[in-house]
Amino acid sequence: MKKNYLIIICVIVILAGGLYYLLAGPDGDQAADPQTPAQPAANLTFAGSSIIEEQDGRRLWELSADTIEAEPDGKIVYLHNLKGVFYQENGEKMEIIAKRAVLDAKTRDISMEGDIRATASDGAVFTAPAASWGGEPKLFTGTGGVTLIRGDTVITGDKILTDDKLEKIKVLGKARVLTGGKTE
Amino acid sequence: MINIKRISWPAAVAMLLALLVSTGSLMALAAAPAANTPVEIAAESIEYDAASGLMTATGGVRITQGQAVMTGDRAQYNTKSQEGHLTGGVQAVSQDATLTAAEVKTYNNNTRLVAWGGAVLTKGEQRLTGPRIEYITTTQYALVPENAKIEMPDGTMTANKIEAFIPENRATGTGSVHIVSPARKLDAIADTATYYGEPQGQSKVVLSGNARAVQDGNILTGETLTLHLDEKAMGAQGRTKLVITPQ
Repeated sequence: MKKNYLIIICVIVILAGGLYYLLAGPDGDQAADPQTPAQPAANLTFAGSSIIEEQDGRRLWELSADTIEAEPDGKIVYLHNLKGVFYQENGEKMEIIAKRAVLDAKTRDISMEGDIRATASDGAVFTAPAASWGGEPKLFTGTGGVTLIRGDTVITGDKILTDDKLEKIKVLGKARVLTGGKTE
Repeated sequence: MINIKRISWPAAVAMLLALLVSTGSLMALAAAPAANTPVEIAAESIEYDAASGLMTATGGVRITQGQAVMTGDRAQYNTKSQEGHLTGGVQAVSQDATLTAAEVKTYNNNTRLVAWGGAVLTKGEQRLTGPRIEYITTTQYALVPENAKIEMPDGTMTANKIEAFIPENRATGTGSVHIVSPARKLDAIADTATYYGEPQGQSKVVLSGNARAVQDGNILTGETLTLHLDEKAMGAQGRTKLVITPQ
């Protein structure tokens, strides 16, 4: 009986020692040094991968990127050189590119930055320095000098909210629409 | 027909000439926008539905097409039907002519304007007013369908309705036409008054139906009075009477 207790105590000591080594690391004292910046928590990284959201078997959107990183809990996902496709029920789609994007895996909201360009199936093009996809109902929100071109109509403004078809559009701040003038 | 040559009505002739010529100049509000001239809409906020083509602009709205500019508090414009509706202190400006009203609707790519709610069309010192003004830019036809009034520095003409046909250089006031010029001591009434500016050198004004003109106490009445503006002569038809008051 004493022998069994001894074995259990040894296992606990070994596990505790290993756990301490893993958490503190070999330079545990260095991490506590205020002169050394804290290292971010290790992220999971995917290369050449895609993230897809589906609902009732229908694909809502698909995001791919040069690199995809996720926080350990998987709630926040970072994408670099994003290429996204948003699918509509009628079979049409909207393609979007951005330098950087952050996906909230819980809310499915997406924030994008850097040379954003979205193109709808009918050729409508939306460009913005920054944009997001979220809210209820889900809308694209472009900020920082946004332009939307549809046929012979050019829409600009400080902020533009639009659906995933780039069809219903609201422009706020220095809103401007130039339309017509196309020669048949 | 009675021809009364060299009758001393220069003041009346001059006044009517100025009055009716100004009617034409008033209507030169805006050169008709070319069919393919782009329309620019600027505002604090704009909502646009590409499916319906409907655009709603709010706050400091400014619509520009060619040299014509319209402003108001709020506007709707349909890019498919090319119809617009501006409300709230609407002002349309083109060159030196200005149209103001509570509301203005535009049709056919802004080639037809309908203004109402204290509509005023101003060019220089002349003002055409009425509760409603309609203007076809392609044909340069203007209509004030009720309570029409033209004001100038030296006189005013009111009528139930005033139509102006710019290319023909013709304008007609219909129903209770009343011309008043305090500067020229002239007061004239008729059921209808039409100015014919063409052919050149033969312009005239026809006062029809119970025409009556008074200047300096002299009264000319008749069923129809024709003022030959260039000849400074007047013709009268029907039962005519001239009453001269000694000065």
